Amino acid sequence: MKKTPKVVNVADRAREEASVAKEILGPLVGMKLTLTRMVENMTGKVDPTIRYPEERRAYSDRYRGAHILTAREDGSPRCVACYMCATACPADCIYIEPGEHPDPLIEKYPTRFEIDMLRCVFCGFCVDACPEEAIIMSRETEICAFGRGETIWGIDRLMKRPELPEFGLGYRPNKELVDSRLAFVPKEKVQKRLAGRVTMKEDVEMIPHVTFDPLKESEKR
Amino acid sequence: MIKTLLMNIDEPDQVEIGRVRERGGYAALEKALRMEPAALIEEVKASGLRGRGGAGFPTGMKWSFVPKNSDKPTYLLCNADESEPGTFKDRKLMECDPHLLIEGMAIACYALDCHLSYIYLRGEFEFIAHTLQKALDEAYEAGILGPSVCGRDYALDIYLHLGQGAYICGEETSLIESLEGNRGYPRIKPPFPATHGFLASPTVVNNVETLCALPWIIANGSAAYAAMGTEKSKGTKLFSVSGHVAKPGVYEVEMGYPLMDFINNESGGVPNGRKLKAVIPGGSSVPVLRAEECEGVLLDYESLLKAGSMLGSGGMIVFDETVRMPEALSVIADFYAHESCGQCTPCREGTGWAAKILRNLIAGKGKRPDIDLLLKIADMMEGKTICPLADADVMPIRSFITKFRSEFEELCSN
Amino acid sequence: MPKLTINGQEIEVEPGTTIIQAAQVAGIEIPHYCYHPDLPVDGNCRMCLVEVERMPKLAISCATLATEGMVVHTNNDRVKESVRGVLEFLLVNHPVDCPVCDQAGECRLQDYYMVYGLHTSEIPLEMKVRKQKVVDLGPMVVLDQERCVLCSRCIRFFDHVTHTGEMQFFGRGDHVAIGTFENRPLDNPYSGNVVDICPVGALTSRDFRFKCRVWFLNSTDSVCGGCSTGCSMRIDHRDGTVFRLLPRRNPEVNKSWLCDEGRMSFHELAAGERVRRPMIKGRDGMQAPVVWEEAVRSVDSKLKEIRDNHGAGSILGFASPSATNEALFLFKQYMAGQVGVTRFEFRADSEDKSVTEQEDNILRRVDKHPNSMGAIKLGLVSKEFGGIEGAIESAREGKLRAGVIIYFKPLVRRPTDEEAESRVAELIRAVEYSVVLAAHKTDWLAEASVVLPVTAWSEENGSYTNYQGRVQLARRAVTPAGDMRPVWQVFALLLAVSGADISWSTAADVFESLTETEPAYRGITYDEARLPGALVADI
Repeated sequence: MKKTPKVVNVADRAREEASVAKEILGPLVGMKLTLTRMVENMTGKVDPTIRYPEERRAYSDRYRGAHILTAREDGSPRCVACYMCATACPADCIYIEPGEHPDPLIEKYPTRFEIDMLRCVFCGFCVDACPEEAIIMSRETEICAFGRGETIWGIDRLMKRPELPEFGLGYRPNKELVDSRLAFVPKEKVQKRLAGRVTMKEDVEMIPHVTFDPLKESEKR
Repeated sequence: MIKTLLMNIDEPDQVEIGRVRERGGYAALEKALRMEPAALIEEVKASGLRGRGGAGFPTGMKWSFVPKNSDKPTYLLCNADESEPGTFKDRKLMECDPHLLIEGMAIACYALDCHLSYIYLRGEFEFIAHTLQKALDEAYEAGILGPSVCGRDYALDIYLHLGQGAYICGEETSLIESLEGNRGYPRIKPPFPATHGFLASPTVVNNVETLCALPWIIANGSAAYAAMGTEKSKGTKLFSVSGHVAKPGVYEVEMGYPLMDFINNESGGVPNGRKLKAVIPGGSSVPVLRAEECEGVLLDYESLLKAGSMLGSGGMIVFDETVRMPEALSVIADFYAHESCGQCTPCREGTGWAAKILRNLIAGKGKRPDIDLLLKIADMMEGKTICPLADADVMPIRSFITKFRSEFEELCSN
Repeated sequence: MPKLTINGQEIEVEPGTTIIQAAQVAGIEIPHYCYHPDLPVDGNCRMCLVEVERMPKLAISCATLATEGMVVHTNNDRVKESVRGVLEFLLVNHPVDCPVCDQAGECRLQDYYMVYGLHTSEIPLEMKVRKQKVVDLGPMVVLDQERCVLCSRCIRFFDHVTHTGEMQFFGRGDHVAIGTFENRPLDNPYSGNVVDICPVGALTSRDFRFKCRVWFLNSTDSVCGGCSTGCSMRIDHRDGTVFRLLPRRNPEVNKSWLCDEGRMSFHELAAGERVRRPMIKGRDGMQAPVVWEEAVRSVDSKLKEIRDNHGAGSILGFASPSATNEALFLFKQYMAGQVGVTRFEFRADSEDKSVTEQEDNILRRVDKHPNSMGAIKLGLVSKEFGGIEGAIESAREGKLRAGVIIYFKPLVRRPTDEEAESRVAELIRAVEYSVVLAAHKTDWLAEASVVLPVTAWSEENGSYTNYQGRVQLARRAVTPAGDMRPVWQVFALLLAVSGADISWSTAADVFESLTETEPAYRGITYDEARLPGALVADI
């Protein structure tokens, strides 16, 4: 037997089932997730925002940032101008001029070593190719300039990096690289952990935080 | 036992030609000069005399390789560059009976139609040079050498040439190079010295002992010589025995004489009540034999080869139980590294590398894989070089490590 | 003609051929260090060991003659093991210098390691033998004793090619090192060749030291422009700069060698200023730059004017014996064919200088121009006028009124050059109207009526005819900055302006025309003129 459908008058049903409580609490229940999140954000329990430049994202140990030319004990560059990096570079941004080193055991050194930071794609092939561990990368990404001339970094700029402790060393295939190979003695790394913060971004390591107060820094200088 | 080489060794003043003549010296030369050179070569062939320098090549056959109708002069060179570690038999002959050598050389030169001959004397034997030169001078004075040997229509000049202290110059082509005034680098063969030797002329290089055997052979006949020894190793041989024996020295025994008898009787046995550990029968270039392996071994070319070693030059070194084999091998390896001429790659690098590894090992800085590395180096060097110096380094390395491996492993840290 | 089998391939060779040479004929490469086709065999590296059936030990293929029925294996396991072993031995004491060594990229140790080695080193660095590094052997050569593999190629070169015997081994065993006797400097005029033949970075060029990594370089086949020997060489360059010159093996001319002066000849090109634009001397006596069209038209009309007024005998065609065959051919086509000139010269130095006379008994010749024979074969000399001296006198007398002069300064200098150049300057001063095609600026160039800038050696495609009458191709390696044209193109323009029917667009086209027109060059094809070059007919 064919069943005849029951006819429901929705307006009637609504009127019957309605109540003040439902009117008020209904939207609140539906927005439970949203409101919870709002409360967490407002109280600071959850803080996914990185307030740059006071807070910075912590990069991994092998992050490929700006390059560093490492040094020997006497402060001269470890580089022997073998051109492996210049040959490996896919962006053709390394320019080297070699010179004769007076020590026959070293024999060759770069009189000019320049990286055009605007051409560089930060691939790290130069670090991979180097047989002398003479070039590594740091976690520094703040490389701005006032003109194009400043974007070509020479040996001086590549070696002396007083701001390095803030950022830390980055890409180097050999983990046993000792800090003494830098051209300066790095200060103790500034580590500050902001208490009670939890991140929602699991792909980012928020530890260690690095804080940088521009006012305090300018007072120091 | 009949002595063919050391018969006059105990006679005093044998360097004086007057004394030599008195006891009948140079009679064999007179007899040889009455024979035809071709007959002389046949006589030497029939005697079965084999080269006494280490290679053991039949002497008569070597002589017959010299082309008869060459327009170049033939040279006979006496190899007195005795440098094989453990060998000091030629020295004995030259010091005590130099005229025997001169007589043997004269016989050989006559057989080869050679009129100019050289004795290439080891540089470190400068004190023997005086004796030899004096003997040569006496021979010239007596008319045995010079424009008319023993009054015959045959001219012969023999000169003494001093080397400068290189083991490699005992190798015949290296000897020839050194004599020509070049660096003592062995030549690639072919061409062989028999056709292209000294000054690109036919050359025969013979060891001192080989040449000293000739007078007896000519005087008593090849059959008498061939009657001594074994089927393939005829005659007698000098053995210079050193190491842990009561009576080290040079002894002449018939070929085929038992090795253990030689050590225990002639050499007086291992002294101080110690046990025999190992024997190197023929100079450091031959594989070492453990004491057990020496039982029943005879002193001839074939028996020693079958036992896993070689007769070589007859420089016997005896080790007793106090010897630490790795140290002994290090000394031997240092020798080859020092003496390698440096011409070809495997020997030059391999001998030096092996010596360094062994030095590290005995200083306690070695590791287990180093032992296998030494064997690998030996394999890489063997058979690939211009001359057999590399092979001479390979034999001791391989035999010492294979037969006494535990001693090497004890020295290693891991 | 013995027949032998190498790796299953049967080939027939001349008697007296060694296995390594036979393998080369079959296209099989046997690794080697000490063997060199132009040096006597030494057999000391032991790298070329091969297995010959029925021989108990491996044999060195450089010293073993190929015999009938021989069966050779060069790449079975036993041979590969042996090659790897020798390579490992060579690398045992070799310093880890690749980053600073100039030979990187063309080093036989590197190349063979990648093919036959690929083993891990089993010797610690401290155990390696130490020797002298960075030794100045002479003005051309730097020695590093540690890198040497003791192949003795350099020693054999000085013993058997230059017969001077400067280098020798010193020491014994693994302390053997090469050097000169008593450390005397190497001042041999062929010393640069040992840098080429050294298979590793032991002997490197002082001139080329650290200038450029070799994988950045492009190679162009060429012929030396230093003297009439015309050695086959190749130019290594990058981005318009020449870095070095290397020989190409030509058994008919220079074997594998170059003289040091020829090797350094490219420096002469960079020395001095270039002429970059066509210039015409105006009424005020000052030269002013013009475009090519105008220059060419002006020259053509002026020459024809002088010819019409004073006769064809008042014009001299002075070719340069350094210009290419193509240039000289079109020079003749225009001057003789269009203008009607009958008076030609090409020698500015002594008139009786022989093209074939040797300066030493190895390579160098007295005539420091690469194409004197080309000028002779093309008939660019008319002996009855007394050479350039006669021309100068004739000009002073007023009989000679114009001259078209091609002038290249020689790449290899001699004391007589100044005098020769001054004669050319005098000639230009003496005539009324002079057209000079030059590459480099000289102080007398300002006195010419017309200056046309041209490309020099290595900057244009062309061919040269050496003292044997051998035609060889020289290809363009670099392009100089400026409005220079190849000499042949200048005369092609002149021919076009003069109304001749031309259809050449490349030097190859001109060459084809040349071989069709000139009897001495008939039948030579472009391909034939590559290595080792083709001989012209004896006319």
